[in-house]
Amino acid sequence: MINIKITIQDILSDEEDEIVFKVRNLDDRMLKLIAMVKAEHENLVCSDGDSICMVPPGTVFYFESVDNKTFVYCESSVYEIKMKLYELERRFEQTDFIRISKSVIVNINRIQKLFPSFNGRFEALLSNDERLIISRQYLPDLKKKLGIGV
Amino acid sequence: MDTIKSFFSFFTKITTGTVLVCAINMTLSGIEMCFSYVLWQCLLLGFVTSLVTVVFYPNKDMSKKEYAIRLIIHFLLITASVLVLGGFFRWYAVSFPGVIFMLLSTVFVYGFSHLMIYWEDKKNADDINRALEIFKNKGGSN
Repeated sequence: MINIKITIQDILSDEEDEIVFKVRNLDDRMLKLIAMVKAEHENLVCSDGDSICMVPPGTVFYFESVDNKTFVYCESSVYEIKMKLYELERRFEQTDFIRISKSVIVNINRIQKLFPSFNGRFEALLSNDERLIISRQYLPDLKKKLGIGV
Repeated sequence: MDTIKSFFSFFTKITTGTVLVCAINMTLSGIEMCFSYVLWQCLLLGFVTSLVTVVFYPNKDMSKKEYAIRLIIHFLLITASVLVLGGFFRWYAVSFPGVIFMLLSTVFVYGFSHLMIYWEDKKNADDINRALEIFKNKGGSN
């Protein structure tokens, strides 16, 4: 068991938020922690038609794979991203993103409510009123992420 | 493990529905006594139809069309199992009204089981919604 000392400092309002990792050796656990912080804060390079744009992960509602292309859905805009869905899944593994079907990874914070649907699946209502299908097979992972015993 | 859990979940619902149909039918027919073998027959029917359900019931990621096809195939197989086993157990007379009665009974148990599944899912969704609120209030997993 490795103990990590956590120090939180108050800063002035005009200063930038900063995380400094002071490590003796970069072991797997530490690398995972750094990757998690980076995944949350490093913008995603997406394309919006002809132009390239940077999308902060926190603004993403969900990722969807359609015909071998991956799309990033924000509140009211859609971008294409060069990464594959499994790469995104790996990148956002320790964050609030979770796979809910074969083709969709959703930001849990954007789910407003869940409904059972008569075709044996669940529907997630997002905060922008979009609805996504949650496959039964991915439900245990969602419950685990939310801390409910499966 | 998930398959075994699913099997027992289906078995409970289907057997409850079957016993319910038997009880209603016996009451309406004025039958006052029930032989123990009828209960074993209900359990056997529940076992066979649960097996069919575990294999054929659409529970994977699939399109609406594929889902509908799988559901129809599942219903036909369940009906066939009920007719064959019901005939073997002499639950109905092999005649037009007899077959119609068995079909209606199958539809009843099918609907009952689906309603139970929906009710269970609704409870599941409520639990998840509550956990979702707590999760968001805590500021997520990070």
